[in-house]
Amino acid sequence: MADVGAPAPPGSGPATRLLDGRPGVDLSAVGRRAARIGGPALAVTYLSLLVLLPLAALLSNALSGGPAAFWRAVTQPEAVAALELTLVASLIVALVNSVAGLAIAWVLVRDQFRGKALVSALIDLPFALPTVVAGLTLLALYGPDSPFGVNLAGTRLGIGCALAFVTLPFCVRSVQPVLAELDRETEEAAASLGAKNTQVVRRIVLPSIAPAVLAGAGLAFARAVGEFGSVVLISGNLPFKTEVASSWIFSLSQSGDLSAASAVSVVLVLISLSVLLAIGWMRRRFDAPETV
Amino acid sequence: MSIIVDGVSKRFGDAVALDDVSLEVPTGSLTALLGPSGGGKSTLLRIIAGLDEPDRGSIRIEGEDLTGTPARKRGVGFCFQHYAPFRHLTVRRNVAFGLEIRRRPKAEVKARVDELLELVGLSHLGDRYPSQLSGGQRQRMALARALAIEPKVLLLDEPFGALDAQVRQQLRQWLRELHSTLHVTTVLVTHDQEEAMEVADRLAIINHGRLEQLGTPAHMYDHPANEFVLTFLGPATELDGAWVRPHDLVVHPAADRPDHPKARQGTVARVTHLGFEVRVDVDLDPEGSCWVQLSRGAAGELDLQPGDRVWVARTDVPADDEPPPSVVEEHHERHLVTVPPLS
Amino acid sequence: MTGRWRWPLRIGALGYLAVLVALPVGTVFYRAFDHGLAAAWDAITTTDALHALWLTVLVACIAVPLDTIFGVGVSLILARHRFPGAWLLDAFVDIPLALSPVVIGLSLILVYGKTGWFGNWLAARGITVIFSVPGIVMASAAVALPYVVREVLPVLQELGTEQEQAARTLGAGPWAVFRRITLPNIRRGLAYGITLTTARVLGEFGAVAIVSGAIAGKTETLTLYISDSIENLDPAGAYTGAVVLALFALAVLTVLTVTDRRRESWHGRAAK
Repeated sequence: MADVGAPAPPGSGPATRLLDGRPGVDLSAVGRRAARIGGPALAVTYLSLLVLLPLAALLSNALSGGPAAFWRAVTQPEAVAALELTLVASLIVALVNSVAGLAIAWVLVRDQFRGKALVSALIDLPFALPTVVAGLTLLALYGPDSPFGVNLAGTRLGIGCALAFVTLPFCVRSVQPVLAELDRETEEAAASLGAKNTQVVRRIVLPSIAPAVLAGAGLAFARAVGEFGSVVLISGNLPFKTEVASSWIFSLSQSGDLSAASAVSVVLVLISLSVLLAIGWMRRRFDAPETV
Repeated sequence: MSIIVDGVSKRFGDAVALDDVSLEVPTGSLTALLGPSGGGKSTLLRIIAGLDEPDRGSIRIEGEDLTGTPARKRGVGFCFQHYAPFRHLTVRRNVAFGLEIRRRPKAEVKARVDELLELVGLSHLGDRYPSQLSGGQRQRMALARALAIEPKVLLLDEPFGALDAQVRQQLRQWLRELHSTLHVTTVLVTHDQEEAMEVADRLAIINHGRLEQLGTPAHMYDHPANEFVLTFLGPATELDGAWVRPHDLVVHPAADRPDHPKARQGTVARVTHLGFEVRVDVDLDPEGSCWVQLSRGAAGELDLQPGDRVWVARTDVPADDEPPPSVVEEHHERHLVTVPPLS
Repeated sequence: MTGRWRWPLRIGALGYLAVLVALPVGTVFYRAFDHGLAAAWDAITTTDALHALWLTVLVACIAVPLDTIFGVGVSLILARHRFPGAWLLDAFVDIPLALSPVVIGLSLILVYGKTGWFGNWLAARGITVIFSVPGIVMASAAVALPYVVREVLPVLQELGTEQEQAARTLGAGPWAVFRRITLPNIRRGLAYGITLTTARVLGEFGAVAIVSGAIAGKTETLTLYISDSIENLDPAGAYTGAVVLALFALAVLTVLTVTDRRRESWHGRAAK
C-alpha cells in the first residue's frame, strides 16, 4: 500500500495524493503556475495600456511627418521660447529649493522646538494638494487681489513661485532621512581632531549628504519641467513671456495639431529623462564604493 | 601624571552615569577602564576627551585644567568602537584630516601620513576608501588618524568590540606593541576583562558609575577590593561562605583525605571538558555546591565520574585560622565596600 | 545645534516655508468663507459643482483600486521573483513620475482618441474613451500608477521571504500566506501608498484637462471645475471647490503624519 501523504513524484503536475491517500488535484500548484504566468502578464498588460502604448504612440506620432516636420515643430519660435522658459525656470527653482530644502531639513533634524510635527506636515502639503488648488492659492496671495499689494500674475517670478511651491517637498524629503541617519561619531571624530564647527559641516557633513541633495534637485527639476496645473493660473500663459512648455503643448492639442504637440512632448520627456539619468550616474560615481 | 580625574559626576536625566569618580593615569601608561556595559566607562572617556561635559568635577591633562575646553582644543586622540571613518575620503585623506585642519604644509602632511600608514601596516591601502577595508583595517586607520595630530593622550572606546575574536586577539597584541614603541599615554575602555588584563598596565574597574578599584591586573586579581571585582576579574566559587578561585581548589578521591582541616566531602555532579581545563561541579555535604578547575592532566589522573565521592580543599591559604592580610587598595577606600576577605 | 546659527537658520527656513506654503493655503480658506458660510454653501451646491464632485469621486473609486491591485501585484512579482527584464519592469513603473501630466494625457489621446491607434476599433464597438468618463479614469490611473509600488515594494523586499516560507511549511496555501502573513506586514506601506494615490487622482489636472474636453456638467472633474470657474470670473465657485480639495489634502496629510513613514521609500528610487 502506498504511503499515505507521500509527495507526488516529480513531473506529475497537479495530480497528487491528498493527506488521506485519495487522489486529488493540487490546487495550490495550479494556482501558483497561473500566478507565475498570469500575474506578470496582467501587470504588463495594464502597464502597456496605460503607459507603454501611449508613449510609443507619442513617439510614433511625433515622427509621423518625418524628421523635417519634427524639427519644424520643435524649432518654432513659440515652442523654443516655451522650452527655454521652462528649462531656465526649472533649473533656478531646483537650485533655490535645494538650498532651502537643506536648511529646512537641517532645522527639522537638528533643532528642537515645539510644533515640529506641524512644520513637517506643512512640507508635505504641496505634495498632497492638487496642483490647481496650489495655483489658486498662489494667485490669491500674490495675484491681482493680493493683500500684500504685489502682483505676480503674468510674471516669470510668479511661475517661479508656483514651481518652488510644488517641488519643495522633494528637496526636503530627499535630504532629511540621510541627515537623520548621519553617524554623529564622525563629526565627533572630526572635532577631536581639531575641526571647528564650520569645518565639520563643510568637510564632513555636506559631502556625506551631497548625493541626497543632488537626487532631490533632480526630482525637483523633472517635476518642474512638466508642471502644468499650478503654473497655468498664475502665469496667464502669455506667449513668449510666461508660456511654459506644458501650456504650449496643451494649446497645440486643443487646436488639433497633435503631431506638433507630440514633437514638443518628446523633447520635454527626453530632457527630464536625461537629467534623471545623469543624476543617477553622478550618484553612482561619487558615492564611496561599497564592499561586496 | 598625564590625566587627573577629580570628583567627576554626570547624570543623564534621572540616570546616574558617573558618581564622584577620581583617578589618575600615569604618563606613558596604558590604563584600561574596565566594567560591565552601561557602567559609565565610555561616559568617563568621553568626558576626558571633551565630547561630553561633567556635571561636577574637573579634568586635568598634563597639569592643565581642561574642564571647560571643547574637544578640538584638548589635543586628545579618540577612537570609536565603530571607527567613525570619513566615508567620502580615502584612507590617506582620513589620516591626514587633523593635519589639514591645522594647515600643515603639504609635504609635511604627506610625509607624516606615509609614516603613520607604515606604522599601522596600511601603506598599500592608502588610496582605498574605508568601505573597502576590513573591520580591523578600519580600526588601524582610525588609530593612525588619531596619532597623526601627536595627541597628549590616546583614548580608545571599546576599539575591538565590533571585531571577530581572532582579529581582536591580533589587534590586542598589536596595540600592546604599538604602545611600547610610542609610549603615548593611553586609556582603553573595554568590558572584556581578559582583554584588559592582557593589554593594560593598570586597571580601573568602574561599575554603576563608581570606581571600584584601581591597580595592576595581577594585584587586583589576587587582592580584589570587593566581591564585584573578585567575580568580574576571574572565575569564583563559594566554599564555606567565602569566595575562592576554582583553580585554588583540589579534589581528592574519597579514600584519600587531604591534610587540610577544612577539607569538605561531596559528590561529583558533573565533569565538563573545556580543552585544556576541566570543570568539576561538586555537590557538597550536607548542602551547597562549588566547582573546581583542574588541568587536563590532573583530571586525567583522577578519572572522575558523576556520582563519585570526593574531598575538596583549598590550596591558597595556610591550614591555620589566621585571616590573610587586607586586600583593600590604599588610595580608594572611600569608594569601596568592605566584604569578608578571601578566606 | 550650534548657537550662533540657530536662530538665523530657524527664521530663514521656517520663514521660507511660511511665505511659500502656509500663507497661500490659509488664504484659500479665508477667501472661500469671505462672504459667509451660506454663500459658500450655495457656491458648492450648484449643479455643475455637484456634478464635478460626483465625477471626481467616481473616478477615484475606480482608478484607485485598479492602481492598488496593480501596485501590490507588481510589488509581489518584483520582490519575490527573479526574471530577465525585471529591472525594466521596475523602470517602466516609474515612468509617469518623469512625465508631464499634459504629455500623459496627449499620449492617451493618441491611442484611444478617434484618430488614435485604437480609434477605429473602439468606434466600431461604440466605446468612447476620450472626452468621456473612461478616458478620465485612464488618465487618472496612469498618473498615479507608481505610488503604491514605490511604497509597498521596499517593504516587501525588507520583509524577506522567511516568514512566508515558515507559513508554507506549516501548511498554508498561497492565498492564506498572502492574507495572514504578507498583507499584515505591508499594511502601513500600503495605506501610505493608497493615500498618495488617492491624493494624486483627486488632484490631477493636466492629463484630465486634455483627455476630457472639460465639458461642464459632463466631463468636468473638481479640478477642472475650479480652473473653469476662475476663467468664468466665478471666484466663489473656484475657492469653495478648492476648499473641498484642500480639506481632503489635509486629511491626507494627517494620515501621512500619523503613519509616520520613513521617507526613504519614495526617494530611495530617485534617479533612474
